[in-house]
Amino acid sequence: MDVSRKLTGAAAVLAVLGIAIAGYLTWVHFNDLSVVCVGGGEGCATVQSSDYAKFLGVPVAVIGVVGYILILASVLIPGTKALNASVFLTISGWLFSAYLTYLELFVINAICQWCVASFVVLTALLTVVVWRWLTADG
Amino acid sequence: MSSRAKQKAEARAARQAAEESQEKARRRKRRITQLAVIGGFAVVVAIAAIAISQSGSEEAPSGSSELAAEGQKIAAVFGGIPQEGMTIGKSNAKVKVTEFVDMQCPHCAEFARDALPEVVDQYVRTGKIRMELQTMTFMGPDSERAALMVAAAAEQNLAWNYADLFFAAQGQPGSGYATDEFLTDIGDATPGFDTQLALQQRNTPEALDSLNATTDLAAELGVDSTPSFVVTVGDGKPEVVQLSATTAAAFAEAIEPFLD
Repeated sequence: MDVSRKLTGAAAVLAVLGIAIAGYLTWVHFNDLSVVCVGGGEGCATVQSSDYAKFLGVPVAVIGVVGYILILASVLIPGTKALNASVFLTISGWLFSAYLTYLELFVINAICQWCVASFVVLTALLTVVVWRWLTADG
Repeated sequence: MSSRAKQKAEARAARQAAEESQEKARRRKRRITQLAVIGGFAVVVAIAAIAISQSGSEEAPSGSSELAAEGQKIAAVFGGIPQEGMTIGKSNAKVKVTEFVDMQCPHCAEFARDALPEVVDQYVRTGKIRMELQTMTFMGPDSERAALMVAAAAEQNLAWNYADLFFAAQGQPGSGYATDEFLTDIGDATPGFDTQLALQQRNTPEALDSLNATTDLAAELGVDSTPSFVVTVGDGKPEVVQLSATTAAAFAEAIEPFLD
């Protein structure tokens, strides 16, 4: 298997992982459930119920699901436009996720493990997607 | 091959190699420029999203005059309705609705702001239901400090007024905003409330016991999020009801089946 296919596979797996994390948080939100967090859910509950858990009235978790689905589609669709879109979407998502992590640490003063997990996935995804873009023909 | 032909071939190969190298460098430069453009667009989009996110948060009343005005408004909502401890409403109301809140929970504040005035007007004032407040503290130290003040306010039969004004002025969860100064400001803006007395009474064993009792009751009923509502008809079994939204209409939809 060549490098390009390996990188595409890795990006797809990471995007699916992101969908699973954001999907879980969306499910919890709409079913009015408590987020399961290792060592107690205090931080998760605080973050999930903060003013920043919604963007223009839409739960951030829903935006995460949509974002990861778009990234997955852009990774799987062949062509230069999709390749460029995957980089654009991942950089935008990573920056917004970094901002949310900053809010957790310095404004909300609580850490949600699921949000951190999503940020880690996005960081790995950013590395893979940019690497894939640089090694692609063009 | 003659030496002249060999020299020519070598020169051609060198020229081709140089051209290839230049082409590679040009391509690399073009790719880096493309990446910078894509990255630049992404940065602009992310900054716009962050700016929108920051402008979206609502301003809570903070100045003493704003708080006092809000306190008066809340007093008007509850005015003329009997309050006893954590309960508001006529004691003979057959249906009791227990609201589990965390004082730091923004959805509880949403319910207090968007639904409670209408709920009180339609169901509590008319004697159809009485409501009981239970303050959970799972969102951290600020929740506990606020809940203890609400318990002290219950001693003055003003728990609902104090809690409602706290919700109106609520800060960022976990930011440590529920200081003595903040709690005092809320008390001072609550008509008829003796703030100093509440500050003295808030750390009594009885107040702490009431928080523990709430935690036990929530566990017993299976309440693990806020706001949660539990309906008890007469001496019947308490029943947890789900609200589809923090609105008066959603409350009515959930409560109506319990009313005759």
